[in-house]
Amino acid sequence: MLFNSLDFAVFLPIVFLLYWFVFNRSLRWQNLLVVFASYFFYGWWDWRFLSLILFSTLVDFLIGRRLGVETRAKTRKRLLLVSILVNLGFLGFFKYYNFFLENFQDAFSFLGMHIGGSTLNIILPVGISFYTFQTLSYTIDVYRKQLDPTQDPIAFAAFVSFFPQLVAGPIERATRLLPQFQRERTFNYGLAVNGMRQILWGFFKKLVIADNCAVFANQIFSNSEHLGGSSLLLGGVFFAFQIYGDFSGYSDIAIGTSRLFGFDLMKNFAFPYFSRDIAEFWRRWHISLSTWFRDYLYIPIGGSRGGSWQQVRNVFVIFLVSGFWHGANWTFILWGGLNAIYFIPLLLLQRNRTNLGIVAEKGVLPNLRETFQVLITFLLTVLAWVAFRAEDISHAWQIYSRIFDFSLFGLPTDLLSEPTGIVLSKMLMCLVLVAGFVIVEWIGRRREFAIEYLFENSSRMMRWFSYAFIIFLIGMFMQTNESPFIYFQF
Amino acid sequence: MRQFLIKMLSFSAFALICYCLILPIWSNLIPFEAFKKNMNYKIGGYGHMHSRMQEIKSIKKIDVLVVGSSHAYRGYDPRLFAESGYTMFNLGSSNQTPVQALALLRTYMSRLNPDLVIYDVFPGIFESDGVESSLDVIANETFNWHTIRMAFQVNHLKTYNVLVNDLFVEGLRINRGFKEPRYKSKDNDSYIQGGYVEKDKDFLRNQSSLSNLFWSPRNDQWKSFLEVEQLVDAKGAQFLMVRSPVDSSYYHRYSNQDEISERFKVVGDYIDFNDLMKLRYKEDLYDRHHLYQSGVDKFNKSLINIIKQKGFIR
Repeated sequence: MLFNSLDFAVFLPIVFLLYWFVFNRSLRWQNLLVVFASYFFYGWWDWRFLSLILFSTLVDFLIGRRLGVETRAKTRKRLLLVSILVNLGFLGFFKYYNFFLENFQDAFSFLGMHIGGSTLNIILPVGISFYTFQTLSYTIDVYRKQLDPTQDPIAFAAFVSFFPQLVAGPIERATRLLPQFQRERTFNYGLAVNGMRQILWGFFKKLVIADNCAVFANQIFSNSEHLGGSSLLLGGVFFAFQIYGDFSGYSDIAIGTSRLFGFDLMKNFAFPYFSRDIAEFWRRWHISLSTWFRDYLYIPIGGSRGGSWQQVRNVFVIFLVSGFWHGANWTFILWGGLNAIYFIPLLLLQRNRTNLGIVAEKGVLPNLRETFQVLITFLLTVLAWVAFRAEDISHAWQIYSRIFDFSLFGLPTDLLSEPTGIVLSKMLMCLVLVAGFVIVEWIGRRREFAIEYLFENSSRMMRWFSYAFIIFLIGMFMQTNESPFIYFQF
Repeated sequence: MRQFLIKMLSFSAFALICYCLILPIWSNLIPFEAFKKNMNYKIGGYGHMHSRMQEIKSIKKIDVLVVGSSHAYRGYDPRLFAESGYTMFNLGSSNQTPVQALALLRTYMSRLNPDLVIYDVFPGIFESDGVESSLDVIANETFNWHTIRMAFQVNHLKTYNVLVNDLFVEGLRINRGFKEPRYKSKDNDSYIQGGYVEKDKDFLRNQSSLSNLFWSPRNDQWKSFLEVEQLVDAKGAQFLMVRSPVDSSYYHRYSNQDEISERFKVVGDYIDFNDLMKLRYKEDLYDRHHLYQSGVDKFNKSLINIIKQKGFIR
């Protein structure tokens, strides 16, 4: 079920009312409703994949319980290994089987050898990368004795399948989310109202910013062979806002929806395009995944300890794995590699933790230095997004080679002629919307989300009118065809 | 919790009112079309629907009423019917689907009281969602209950937006000075009294290659189509389904032609003029499926003969 669908508009109020008015007599019943609603939400796509979630849930619940009583180190390690193998096994099969097979075949044929095996027509279960990592965090934390294993299978199933964040995160940690399923929840008016505001802003980001930018990004990337550098760079900018609006919009809706049910999910985005360097960008972009990799991969392999060579290796490992997590395509690995290349100089110069605060924290506008830093960082991310969006490596190479030639310095007028055929007024409309969006995000950059305290000192009428105006903008500018969120494919 | 629900309901009502107020103000004051993305409100747009809706107000009893898409308003000439002694009005509109035809017939059927309703059953209209046509009908038709009903049936954001704007435009009579030109040089179209639109004889639309199709009507459109037939029947008029002639390459792109014919024959009287005459692109058609006046002459004469022979008009 998509958040931006009529189905969800019916589903959410029904579950909300049942949750607080019918199932509110006991925690167990509320959790049971969450499980049922989450399976219904997920099964709306394809009920067959529910078996994967059920199996993962069962395996990790049982392993968690065994880890709780097992004292022998070797057995505990084996149990953890089983959990990792089961979860990553599913992920590997559904997401990477064809990729590995094809690449092995290519590699061997390059050496003049032929290996058999045929690719399978595998449908990637929606959100498998997200819930796999979430449930893995449970067994790892129990193994590390950072969390007591739960004895409540329903609470655990609810933790694994919680519908607001099931298919595209934030990837919650068991230490943070599971306890919320194990304690009484009371309706919090302030939290719920804030949740509604965040849902509204999430929809604006997705339906107005992401979906409108997607139109131009798609047109530019699919006609890249006919376009010059400036047009392709503009395509990268459109994609940068598409993916930000799409993914952070999803996170906002997920976090806001959770608040309606009395849950507090972790922040996933913190205005990443206002970052002053790449290290700051990665502290602000997809925070739940970055911190997951930091805690469960980067630190265990040594993190920033050891010599320079070790540090560089660790940074490369984490960025390449992060890229590969996004999809079975060399473009994602290239994207990860580019980010590692951006990051390593900061690490080696020990400047990766320079910008820990908010840009222009006490001022209204950034100073010249900050402006330059933000623009350079944004440009670097746009260049990396090109690899992320390209169809394959040769497509990415084609775009990069054009971006870095003299056509970069011309006006992107080739966009307006065939075969791209973009209508200038429509593109300008989109850019004006993006500019307005950036201004609102800038004003609200000190908050959890941009409109959290919009007009907080004004009358209720003024606040309500501003929300109504956002609804109007959605009604006037949204794409009217239903479009899924990009991160569902990951 | 109670406070939250009350606030949510109050805000929903407030937001709805704000939306309905901001929408027409924005739509009528912002001069740039690109900034009115989901507001395609066009009085007197393509197909002369405004002129048709103005003229119909003065029409009373007629013999023949035609409904359908552009194939209807470009394919049935009231002057040719008049030569045979029949009064005819053409109620076709651009991309009109059965949902719009039903709304229009509900509004005008009683007053026009035709003996015969001809439905031009161009297969494509049964596969359309009807959004484009609903915008045309709402903008040009007087605001009434049947168009509201149609908007809910189409159930599309653009349709609702146009409906809200139309209420405002008509309520404040913003469009009262509007007069649609009889001849539109941009489209090479002339409006002819009786709802017909004649295309200039030197106009030709270049045609791209055709892909093969399999006709699969939408359930909602087919349901409305059956309601049209029932409405016509209830008003005591004859109902005739006609497929106007198109270029044969266009006609045969549907792989399930037999199924199309069979489906219509079950509903009632059905004539496929592609079985009776062969008209060609560039000679009688300005594209593969729209007629020149020469094509209309041949087609209408043949149709009128059949109407006479089979006694469709009392």
